[in-house]
Parts: sequence; C-alpha cells; structure tokens
Amino acid sequence: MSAELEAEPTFVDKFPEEARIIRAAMWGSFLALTLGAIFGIIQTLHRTGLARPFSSVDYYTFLTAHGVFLVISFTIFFLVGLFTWAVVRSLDRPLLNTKITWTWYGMMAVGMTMTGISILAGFTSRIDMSADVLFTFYAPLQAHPLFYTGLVVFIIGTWVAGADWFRTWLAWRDENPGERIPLQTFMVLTTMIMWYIATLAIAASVLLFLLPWSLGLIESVNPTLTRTLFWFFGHPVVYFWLMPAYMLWYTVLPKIAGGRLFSDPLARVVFVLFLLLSTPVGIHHQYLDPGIAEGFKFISMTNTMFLLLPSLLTAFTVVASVEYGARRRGGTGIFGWLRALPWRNPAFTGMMLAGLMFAAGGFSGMINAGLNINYMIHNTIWVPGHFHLTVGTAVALTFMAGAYWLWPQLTNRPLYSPQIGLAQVVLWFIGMALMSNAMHAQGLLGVPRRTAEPEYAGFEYPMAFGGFEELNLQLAIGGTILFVSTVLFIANIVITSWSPKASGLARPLPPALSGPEDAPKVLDNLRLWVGIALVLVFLAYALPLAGIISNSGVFGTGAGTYPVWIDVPTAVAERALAVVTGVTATLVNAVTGVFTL
Amino acid sequence: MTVDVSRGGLLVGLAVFGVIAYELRTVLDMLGLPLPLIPYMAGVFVLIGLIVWVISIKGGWRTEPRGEKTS
Repeated sequence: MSAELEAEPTFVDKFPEEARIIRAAMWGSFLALTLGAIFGIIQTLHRTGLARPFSSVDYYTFLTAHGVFLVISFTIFFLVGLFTWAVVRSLDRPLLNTKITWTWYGMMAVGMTMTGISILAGFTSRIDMSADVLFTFYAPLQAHPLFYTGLVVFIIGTWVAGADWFRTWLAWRDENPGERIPLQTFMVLTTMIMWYIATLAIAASVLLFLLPWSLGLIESVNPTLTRTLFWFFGHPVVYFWLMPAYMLWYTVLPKIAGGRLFSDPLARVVFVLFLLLSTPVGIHHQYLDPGIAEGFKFISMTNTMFLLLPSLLTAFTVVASVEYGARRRGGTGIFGWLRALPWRNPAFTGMMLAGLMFAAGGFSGMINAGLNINYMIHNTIWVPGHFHLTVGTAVALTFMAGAYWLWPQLTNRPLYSPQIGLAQVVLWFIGMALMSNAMHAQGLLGVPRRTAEPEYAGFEYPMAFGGFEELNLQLAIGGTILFVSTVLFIANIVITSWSPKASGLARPLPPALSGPEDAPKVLDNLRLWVGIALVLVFLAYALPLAGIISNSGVFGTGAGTYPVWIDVPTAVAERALAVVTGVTATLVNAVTGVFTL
Repeated sequence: MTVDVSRGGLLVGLAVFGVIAYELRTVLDMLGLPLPLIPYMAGVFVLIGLIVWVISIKGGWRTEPRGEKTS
C-alpha cells in the first residue's frame, strides 16, 4: 500500500456526521433486507409445498411484508444513504444542515415503522389491524389507515431528503459559479426530479382516495383510477431503485476495475433520458385493464421500447470503462482482457454479475412490454421471475456489492471477509438463476402469481405439465440459496462493523476519460428537462385519466371498457359513412328511377 | 498446469458457465430431447465440482495478486 493512499482521508474522516447518517440509513436498509429475506424463504417453501408451518391465509401477510420491506424499505433506505454519500463526496462539501438530514431520516424511519406494524399486525387476530394489500396497494384491496399514513410520512421524508440535496447543491453552486454539476450530484438530482414527478400521483391516490376510504370518510373509490395512479408511480419507482445502481456502475465499478469512466457526457444523457421516459410508460402495467383504451396502451408500449435506449447506452459505456481498466491492468485480446479484471473483489464481481443478470431481466422485460405477448404471461409467476432479475438482482446485488466497497470508507473498518463476500455474490447469482428460471418456466405454463395455492381447482399442473413439481423444487433450491446468501451478507457487514479500525481505506474516484467539459451545457439545464418531462407525462396521462373519470366518476365503483372519446371518432366516421351511403342510395335511386322512367 | 485465472475469476467463470450449461436443457427440450430437471441440475453441479477438482489437482489457480486491492 502506498504512503499516499495510507495518508488519504476516508469519507468518514472528512465528513463524520454525514457518515453517521449514511450508516443509520444503511442499517435501516439491512434490517429491512433481513426481514424481507425471512419472509421470502417462508413464501418460497410454502408456495412450493415443501414446508408449510403457517396457514395459507397468512400467505398474503408474508407476501405484503416481503414486497414492502424489500422494494420500499431496503432499496430506498440504501439509496438515500448512497445519495447522501454521492452528493457530499462529489461536491466535496458537507450538507447545509444535518438537523434537516436527521429529520428526513426520522420521518422515513417512523413512516416505515408505522407501515410495517400495520402489515405485521395481520399475523394476529388480537389486534384489529391488517394491511394485506401487497406492494401494489391499489383498490379494491383496503389496508388499515396506519399503512397509508406511514407511507405518506415515508414519502414526504424522501421529498425532504431530495430538498436537502438540492439545497446543498445550490450552496455549492454559489461557491463555484460557472462550474459543471459534478456527475454523481447530477445523477442524484435527475433521479430526484423523476421521483418528485412520480410520487405526485401516489400522494394524490393515497391522500384523496385510499386514506379517506380506509378511514370511512368516503364510501367508495374508483379502482381503475387508483390503479392507474399507482402505476403512474409504479413504473418510475423501478428506476428510482435502478438509477442508484447505475450510479455505482458508472462511477464506482470502473474505479474498482482499475480504469476510469469512459464518457461523462454519455452518463448524463442516460440519466436525462431516464428522467424523461420513466414516467409516461406506467400504463404498460395495465395492458389487461379493461378501463383503458387499447390505443393508450399502444402509445405506452412505444414509449417503453424507447426506454431500452438508455439501458443499452449504459451497457456500452460501463463495459467500455471496465475494458479500459482491464487493458490498463495488462489484459489483452478480444476477450482475454476479461481475465485481467479483479474477480476476487466481491464489490466488482457482485456488480458485474448484477449487470449480467440485468441483461437477462431486460429480455424478459421486453416480453412484458409487448402489448400482444404480454397477454400470455400477465399475472403469471413469470412477472415475479422478471423483477427478481431486475430489482432482486440488478439492484439488490449491486447494492450489496456497493456496500462491500463503501462500508469500510464509512466506518474505517476493513471488510471482515472478502472471501465470504465473493462466495455470497456468486451464490446470489446461482440462486437467482435457478429461482428466476423456474418462475419464468412456470409462468409460461400459466401458473399464477400472488397465491399460496397456485393450482386451480380441478386442474392439476403435475398432470398437465410433467415439469411443474420439478420446477417447484428448483424454485425452492434457488430461494434457499438466496436466503443463505443474504445471511452471509448481513453477517459480513455486522462483523465488519465490530472489527478493529484500520487506515488506508480511502478509495478516491478518478475523473472520466471524457469529462464534463465534453458534455453540452444544455444537459445541466435541469429546468428544461423538468419541463419536457412534465409535458410528456401530460401527453401520456391526461386523456386516459380524463377517460377513466368521465366513464365512472372520481369516486365511482366501476369503469367502462373504453373511454368515450375513443368512440367519438368512430361514431363520427360511422355517421359520415351513413350519410354518404344514404346520399349515394338516394342518387342511385334517383338515377335508376330516371332510367326506369 | 495452473490456470492463469484468479480463484475469483474461476468461480465467476464457472458460475456463468454452469448457468449456461443449465439453460442448455431448455434448448434440448425445444429440440425434442426432454431431460429430467433435478438429475440434470445435479449433473451440472457435479460437472462444475469435477472441473474445480481437476484444476486444483493440476496446480490450482493463480493466487498471487496482480496489483489489485481486495476492498
């Protein structure tokens, strides 16, 4: 280890208070991961029939807890910690006021505790409370008011967190006039703008409909409307999880590979594209929703396909950056450079395997996004198979790998065991390959998702499809390996946190090969991108939402099969045709009459 | 003989190879050659174990660091 690196201060040395907040956020995340993994293994073994210590009625409580704790709590607590690190590190200045930072952390913690209690209370009949509404908490499923209130407090906490980062950036901008926004801060700000836009819909859904409905203040809600508002938020939330993982791939992975980011401008373009395209696509989750016209679904599918572009740009940039690092380490040949990469490093290997699985998730995602072929897999276990590759691996495994790299810099304690870390990320890859493969395969057989009893009455999958029970076993083996992997991760982090302190753990990030000076200045014009994003959202959602409301009312109890105005052109065309036909018939009659005469 | 790959690289390479070998079953199934799933899965694990065993008795993997840090 060089003396220079030995003397380099770590993040916690430079910003001890911020490091404390980041550690607190990440502990919240790791606690949620532990709970989510326990609920996950119970679900896996129950559904596959291998072990059923609980009633099938409780399955929905497990399912809701698994979903909410992992995709809301684990991911978002981790990313707010990561974003705080990224803003402070890249601006090289402390947060403006850590009291505000502790306030948003407290709001998020209190909110998630309220939501968690309302879900876990479903396990006992002694408390008159339950929230078995799954992660997709739209009507007609209804939760206890505490569930919705907790979510509101949690989301407002994230809004305050975003404001905290924006204020810190504005203070930096005043101190550094004319400077380009540092890349990591740019990534945080664009992600948060997307989050503000996306969460407006879910805030409206909860505050105007679900919470008053659950409190008994209003009698009914419009299920199609709450469903549409949920998916307005429900697709961009996927990118809210994914963009921090992308940030790690863009800015940390090249460093670990021994190289530098290939292109700062391309990274900025990718984040702007995500900001613009993430929200106006949520209707692709509602392809089988009878309350939305097919035309709107087609538009949503087209927008969704555009979303492939930033992911493909990312694949190119990240692989180019990693290859550059490998060649600097002495790697040669068309593929021989792959051998020169630091595969023994769990942070590197975890992120690379996560990226590899994300490619597979992208392939199944294209099936989901296709309006016509989606019908084949809709509501089957194929869909959980897909998102366990994306959020369950691309995001979760990247976060775990990122923790292996970041945690020593937040604690001044070296990772307890890189070997266990390496085994853990490889196990996750193998476990997820098995579990997700089985889920996809069962989904193609038509096996439904979200049920403790996947077999329909009077229909036996083993009789119809010979491989069903084998796939169940494969699913259970994969799920068990994933659980073991999670235990190894948590153990490694916990033991690290009580290990002796050491020096020389700083890992400064190198500048990009093509830096911000090569990026057009317009990319930093956040107001422009906010404006365009809002216009796109308006174009994608104004007509469908107006159609739903005009069809069945704001608080209606049902919805028609298509919006009225989609019928208007058809009706006009039909009437025009009728007029033309009538006139033609009259003329023909007149002419034939003349000839007859 | 020692493979010029670090132990981490070998593990990752075998994990990826194992998944590809496992997915091959789906291709064979599509081509009209259905194979039982669990024995096939066990076979892939045994195959990977055999490869690790052969490499270890032939001299193992590269262990000296090539300048990278482990964390």
